[in-house]
Amino acid sequence: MKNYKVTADEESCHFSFQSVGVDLDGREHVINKVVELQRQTIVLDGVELNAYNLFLGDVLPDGRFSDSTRSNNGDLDIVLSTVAHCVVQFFSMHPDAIIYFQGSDNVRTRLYRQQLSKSENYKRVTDVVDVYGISDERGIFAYEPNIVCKAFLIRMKK
Amino acid sequence: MVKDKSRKKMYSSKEELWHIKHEQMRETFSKVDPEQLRKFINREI
Repeated sequence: MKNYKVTADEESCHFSFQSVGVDLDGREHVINKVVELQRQTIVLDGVELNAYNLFLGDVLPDGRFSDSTRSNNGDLDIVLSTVAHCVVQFFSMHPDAIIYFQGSDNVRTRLYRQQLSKSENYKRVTDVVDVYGISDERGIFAYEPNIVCKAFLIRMKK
Repeated sequence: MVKDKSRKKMYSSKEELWHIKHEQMRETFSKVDPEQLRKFINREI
């Protein structure tokens, strides 16, 4: 699978790359993308989870960030493959970490779920990491393709 | 084809971004059973 060229920081917690599409006039359309992971804590009745929350978004021309811009750049597969590459690089630096990943809204989370559920993607991902879903009905569960969930938890296989 | 259908959810700073992402994460975990979370942490799921 093709990936975009990624620039990463020393800790492999900040990645940037350019998504390249074509506009209606056939001109190249470039979007600056970022993948960032920040360690955040959830405490439930004294049970503490430290997980790296993953942000995938655009850097807008005015410097703001967005994770809900519909760019329609026609390269979703390449973008998500690039994100997977970033995750692998992150785990190489943080092998015991847990990643938390959720779309900015239900539509986007469903889109990511559909992409993950494609058999070739699912096999490639789950060969390396364990994937869990979170839903109101089931709580945390070992993820299987096409099961509805609100967010994902990902960690390296032992 | 490129269409600009931007919706609201712009972050003017990283602080704002991570604050909202953390809130979203907390909301998602709000219905998780703490015992289930413990089992997940200990790789018992």
